[in-house]
Amino acid sequence: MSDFDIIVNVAIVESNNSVNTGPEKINDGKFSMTISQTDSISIDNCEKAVLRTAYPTIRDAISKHLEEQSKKKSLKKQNRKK
Amino acid sequence: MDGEVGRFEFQTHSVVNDEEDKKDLFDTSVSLFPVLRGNEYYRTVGFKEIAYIYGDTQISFRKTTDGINRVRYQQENGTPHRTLHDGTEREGAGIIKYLDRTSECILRQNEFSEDGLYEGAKAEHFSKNEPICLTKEEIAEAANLCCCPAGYTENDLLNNPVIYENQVHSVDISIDDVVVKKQEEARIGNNSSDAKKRKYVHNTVAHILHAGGKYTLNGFNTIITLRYLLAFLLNNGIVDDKRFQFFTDGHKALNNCIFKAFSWNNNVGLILDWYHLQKKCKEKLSMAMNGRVIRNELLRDLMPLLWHGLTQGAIDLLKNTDASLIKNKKRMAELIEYLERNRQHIPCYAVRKKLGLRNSSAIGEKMNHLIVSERQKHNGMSWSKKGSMHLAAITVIKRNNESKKWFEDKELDFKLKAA
Repeated sequence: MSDFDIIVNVAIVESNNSVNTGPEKINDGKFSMTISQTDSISIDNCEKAVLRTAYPTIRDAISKHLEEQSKKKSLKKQNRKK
Repeated sequence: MDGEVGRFEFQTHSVVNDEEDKKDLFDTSVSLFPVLRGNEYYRTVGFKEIAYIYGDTQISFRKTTDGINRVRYQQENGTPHRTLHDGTEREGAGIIKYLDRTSECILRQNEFSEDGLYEGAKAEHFSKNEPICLTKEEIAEAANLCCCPAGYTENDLLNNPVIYENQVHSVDISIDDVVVKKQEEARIGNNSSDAKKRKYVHNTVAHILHAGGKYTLNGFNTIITLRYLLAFLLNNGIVDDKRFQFFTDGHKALNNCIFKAFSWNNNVGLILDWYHLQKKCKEKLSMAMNGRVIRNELLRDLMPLLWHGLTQGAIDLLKNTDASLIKNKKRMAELIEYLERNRQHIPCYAVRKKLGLRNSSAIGEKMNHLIVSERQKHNGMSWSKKGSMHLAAITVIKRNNESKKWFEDKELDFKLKAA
């Protein structure tokens, strides 16, 4: 069995998207949330927004990983059967 | 799964035999991941630590779920409080089951019957097991330092039936029952006579202290807890030449259970807690005497006698009290009977204190408070028997610093922990 890297990258970058109320799934297991200019300079709101986005991302990453492992094991078993 | 990062689901896979009966040949939900029942979520070790150890053993289930769901940013679709309640009960039930199984196994290995009676080759050794006491010189020196009540000498203090155990060769055990309000299974109409009668759920908590190590045990009742206790003592190898020194509040049923459970061993002693002895005297004399002034006067004479272990002197004092000062002879007779009954368990508290020996079951009372009362009493809550017991079981492993081991390995050390 191979080993696994866990890579976490949190980025806060300027955007032209409209502000949304909660994190939304975009692509490649990424979640994004757009906050207003006012919130971006508030320490409290920034902390809250980053955590609100991070948690679903972590959950999704673990869920995907475990699903993948499940699939891999099943396929291995199937191939062995053949 | 329900974890520190949140509550979520993921897909598992299986290999089916499509040629024959579509039977599962390999299912990752049982072969790769822990087996779950129905809609059950797998609770991670991290979740259990947060939810049980820092959560519902201290505050209500509702507050705990509100807290963990908030921290995980999952106020919606987070863990429901009933789910946490059920999970906690199941975890506690697992601990109790483990204790039952382990105790049974240890007792059997050490040739004890199911009733906790010794059936092995060392029966004679245990029945003649003599306590190792402090030296006569040490005791006499301590008695010499005590101020005897008027009319009594040091010799009277030394005639007390309770021995002065050598702490190196004794295990201090404080044991006590604690009750919490029982939850009714169904609402009973106000007219019913049973409705007015409050029912209680019992828990027994034991605290063991030996050679700087300590451990706490809890059980559904005294008999079960004494069974765990015996298994614990055997598992720690502190049975053969050790004295079991119990400290209790003098509850008749509890004392009887202790002597019955340890009847195979001669080296068992019981000391009546000073605070409870004092309390009993105050209560009974309040009911027996004509007013508080007379009661207090009698107490002023009575308590020094009892503190110095002069039980016969105390009984004589009560018997010779002027009948005109007594309003309820029945209560007075009850107190005399109480002292007669506990004569063998009332030590010379003064000498014991000078010798640095324990006189109190306070640590047992404190454990009751920390394990059960603090969370389950004085807050308007009522509990089912299992609910109360299982939550207390988790609190006990937390106190014994064994929660991590339990959550990870589903095992307990069952050994004394450094105090």
